[in-house]
Amino acid sequence: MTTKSLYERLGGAPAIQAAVDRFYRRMLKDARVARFFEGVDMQRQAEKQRNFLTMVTGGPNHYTGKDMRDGHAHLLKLGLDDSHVDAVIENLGAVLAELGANEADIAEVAALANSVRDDVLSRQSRARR
Amino acid sequence: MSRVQLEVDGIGIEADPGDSVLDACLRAGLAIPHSCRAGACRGCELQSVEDAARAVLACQTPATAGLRLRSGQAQLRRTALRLVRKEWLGDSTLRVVLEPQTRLQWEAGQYLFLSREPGRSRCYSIASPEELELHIAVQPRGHMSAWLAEDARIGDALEMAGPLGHCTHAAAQLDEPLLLAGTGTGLAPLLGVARSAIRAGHCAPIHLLHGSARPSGNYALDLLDSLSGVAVESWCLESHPDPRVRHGDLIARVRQFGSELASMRVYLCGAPALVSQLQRECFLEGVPLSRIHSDPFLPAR
Ligand SMILES: Cc1cc2nc3c(=O)[nH]c(=O)nc-3n(C[C@H](O)[C@H](O)[C@H](O)COP(=O)(O)OP(=O)(O)OC[C@H]3O[C@@H](n4cnc5c(N)ncnc54)[C@H](O)[C@@H]3O)c2cc1C
Ligand code: HEM
Ligand code: FES
Repeated sequence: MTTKSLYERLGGAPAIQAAVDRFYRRMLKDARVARFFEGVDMQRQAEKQRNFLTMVTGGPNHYTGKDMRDGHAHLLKLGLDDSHVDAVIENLGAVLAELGANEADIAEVAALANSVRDDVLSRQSRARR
Repeated sequence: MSRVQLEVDGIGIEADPGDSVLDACLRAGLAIPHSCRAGACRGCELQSVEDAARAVLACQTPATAGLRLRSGQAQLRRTALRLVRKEWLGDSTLRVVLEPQTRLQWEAGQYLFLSREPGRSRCYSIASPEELELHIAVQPRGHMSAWLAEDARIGDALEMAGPLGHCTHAAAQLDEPLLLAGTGTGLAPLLGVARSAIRAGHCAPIHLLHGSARPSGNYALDLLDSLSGVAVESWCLESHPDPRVRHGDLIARVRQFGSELASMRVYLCGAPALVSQLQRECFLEGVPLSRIHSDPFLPAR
């Protein structure tokens, strides 16, 4: 038996593309996290957000834990910590709700995002929350 | 220190750890078009051999062992050009027209990688759908611009790679209101889009806002006067002797569009700081990124 990923149920790449603008706009308007997204080329940043959304909805991606460490290492210097991961997950949930995902789906995505929390924050894995 | 081995177009290349892929390629004699070294001009885009859909910007990618890439962006073909016209617009901007020596397809608003000697190129945007018209801001001792201004003669040969870029009218619906905003020679691609729009029978309003920090940057007042079917505004941060130029800031002016922006297609070109600020303003006001076309004019590095 195969279960479809949320990525597929939402409608795959085109649906994710539509979600990128909403998600990105939310991040820029959220004073808790906006500064991490300053000063980067917006089109390229949007590509990365698309990769992010694809990954956390269970779509096709090749990211490893090491990629997550390398990709966020420069943000640690800016003070990246658990509160920011929480904020990202909160915004993610809000966008998915707007797009019609149900609570179970949103919880599943939050769990997926949480599973790389230690990598994003470059620390040894601890007990998962 | 141990060197790393990578492969581009089947050719083995050695690089020092810390080199960008671009520097490693250039040192190995591969002629990859490049200009900004900042991920903006996309001349240096390569593909991953394993996954053709994965684009790699050579200037932004550190050389790592085992990396396998290929060039072969068909659109980055090289074309021989001849200089057929050059004239001053104001005291620091040159308008040049180049004639391709072989068939070339372009959209006004795209940019090309212009070179006068192998291995060094500079990006310039195309201001017209009819001929390769460029507007060149003349930089003191500029490799390309000062040469064009002082030494280049009609008939001289140049070469280009490209064109590239998405600041074109092609993506627009004819009934979408357009906002074209930029500074300095950022006007060139905006003019290209406006001219293409008129040619295509664009039926929604077209706003062209041209700003400058100094009076000399409003270099095309007469040219803009001759553009019918477009609502043109010229702005300058300093007061300008010509009454056609308004005194003020382009960003404040764009904000005045308010919620109207959300339904517009937006083109932003010129000074990088201004382009990125306007991009952000428009996006937060509700314009989808797919309807924001922008070219920050980063200097070559
Ligand atoms: C996609 C794209 C499209 C572009 N389109 C155009 C265009 O249509 N018209 C146009 O005039 N330019 C355009 N540019 C900018 C142009 O490519 C660069 O400014 C280029 O460096 C100019 O080359 P040069 O040989 O004249 O000067 P260089 O030899 O590169 O530079 C000489 C000196 O001038 C400085 N300098 C160069 N450019 C600038 C600048 N813009 N502002 C401040 N200082 C500078 C350099 O740092 C250096 O010290 C574009 C850039 C990009 C990325
Ligand atoms: C919750 C877990 C997270 C996951 C799964 C995740 C995943 C990703 C992915 C897949 C990318 C794209 C990498 C690429 O394509 O190059 C990315 C980039 C990025 N992420 Fe995250 N991320 C997480 C948390 C965060 C947080 C909390 C922040 C800051 C508030 C953040 C800020 C960024 C930024 C700024 C980039 C772009 C970096 C660059 O410019 O290269 N991320 N992330
Ligand atoms: S994008 Fe690499 S040189 Fe411009």
